[in-house]
Amino acid sequence: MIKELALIGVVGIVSFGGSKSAFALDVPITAQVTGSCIISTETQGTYGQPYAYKLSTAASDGGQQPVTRVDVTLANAYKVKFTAPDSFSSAPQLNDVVTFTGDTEVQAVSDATNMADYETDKVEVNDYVDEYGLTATGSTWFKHSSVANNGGDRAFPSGTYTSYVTAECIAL
Amino acid sequence: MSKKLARILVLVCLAGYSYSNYFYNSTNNAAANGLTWTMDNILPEYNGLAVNGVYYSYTPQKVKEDDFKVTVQNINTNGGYVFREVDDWSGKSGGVEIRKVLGFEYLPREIWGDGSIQTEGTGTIQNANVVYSYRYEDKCKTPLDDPTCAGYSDAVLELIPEQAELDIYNALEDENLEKEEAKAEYEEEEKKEQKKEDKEEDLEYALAINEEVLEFGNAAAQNQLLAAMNLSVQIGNYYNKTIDGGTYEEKVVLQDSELPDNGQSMLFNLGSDYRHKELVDSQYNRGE
Repeated sequence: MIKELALIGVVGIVSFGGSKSAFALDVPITAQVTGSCIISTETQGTYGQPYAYKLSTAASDGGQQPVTRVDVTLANAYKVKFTAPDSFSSAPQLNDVVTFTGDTEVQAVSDATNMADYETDKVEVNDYVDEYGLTATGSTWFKHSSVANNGGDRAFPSGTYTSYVTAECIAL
Repeated sequence: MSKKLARILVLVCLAGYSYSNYFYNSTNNAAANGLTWTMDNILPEYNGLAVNGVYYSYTPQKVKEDDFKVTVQNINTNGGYVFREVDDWSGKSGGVEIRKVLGFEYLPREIWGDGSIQTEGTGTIQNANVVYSYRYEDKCKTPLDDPTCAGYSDAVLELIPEQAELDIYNALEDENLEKEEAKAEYEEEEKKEQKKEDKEEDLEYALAINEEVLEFGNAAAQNQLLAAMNLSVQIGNYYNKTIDGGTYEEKVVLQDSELPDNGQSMLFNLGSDYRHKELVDSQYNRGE
């Protein structure tokens, strides 16, 4: 997700019925602000199914963890918030309640001195939400994990399952 | 035509023909076999190669409280360093990979000396990966790529077959003509030789025939002589043969008698006689 702010001046033209004389003039001022925090997907994630009732992104379970990269060109101006999935966005008709767990951790940084502690300094808002303060300019790679267990250890119905990790740059 | 002239012609024909395209590529992991490396083993021998970036990554393993510095660098062959990047992990958590990309303004290959990753303090690094991105000009990847490339004319001449040196055709010096002339002379000589051989053969043949004739004549004469001798001997027997004389009398005597007609065929005989008479008479009575 890319957050962009735009401030666009509104141009107004005032005219007085048929008169060609101008008694006032509005001078436009425009600006375009591009985001200084850019989030991009480095690797798409996939679920593996180690058991009939379990879907997991862990490599050991046959899945693949999604990776996102956050580029910041302005230090101490943003924090990034990741929300692990707590439901499927699309799935076949489920036959029981599915329990989700998820996590996010720093995979790599581009600045040893100023980013090395991003992981230790992260804030776990709840079981699904993690926040990182982006205190330095540069790139940070985040690795996400997600596990879904079907209730009663019942097998997941066959079909395609999709879930999303939500990433947000939040201006401080 | 000399090779010099061929060289001049080639250069004249290609004068002004020059192009320059760049190709971009990247090396393999320079730190795959250790934390120091020689650039001659990393960068290929391409014409006009220039490095425009370095990507490196590694994961430090350390205790947070320890001091630990990691330096990634390349020596400049002209002195100093082409780049020297220091990552200070002192007081920072380890276990997190660092990835860095450094950009350059196409620094020529010649200035890139040995590269290394050096550590200072307490800690180690894992999964070191250093990759150089570069560009090179394609025009002199081989000497034939462009007339301005070193060794171009020599490379062209190597491609020209030896026959191409005779680029001015002189019919009188044509190798085939010489061959034909030699062939004609040879055939003439062959004919003369053949005639001479034929004459000799004829003489030999004639001589051989004479000898054969003489031999044959001698043989014939001898045969005739032998035959005459044999004849005189053999015919003598007949001359000397005596046949017993005497008279051979007629022993068969035919007695005259009347031969009567066959009475049983009288009717047939009469019919035949009558018919014969009619036929004979009809020849004389044709005009009636």
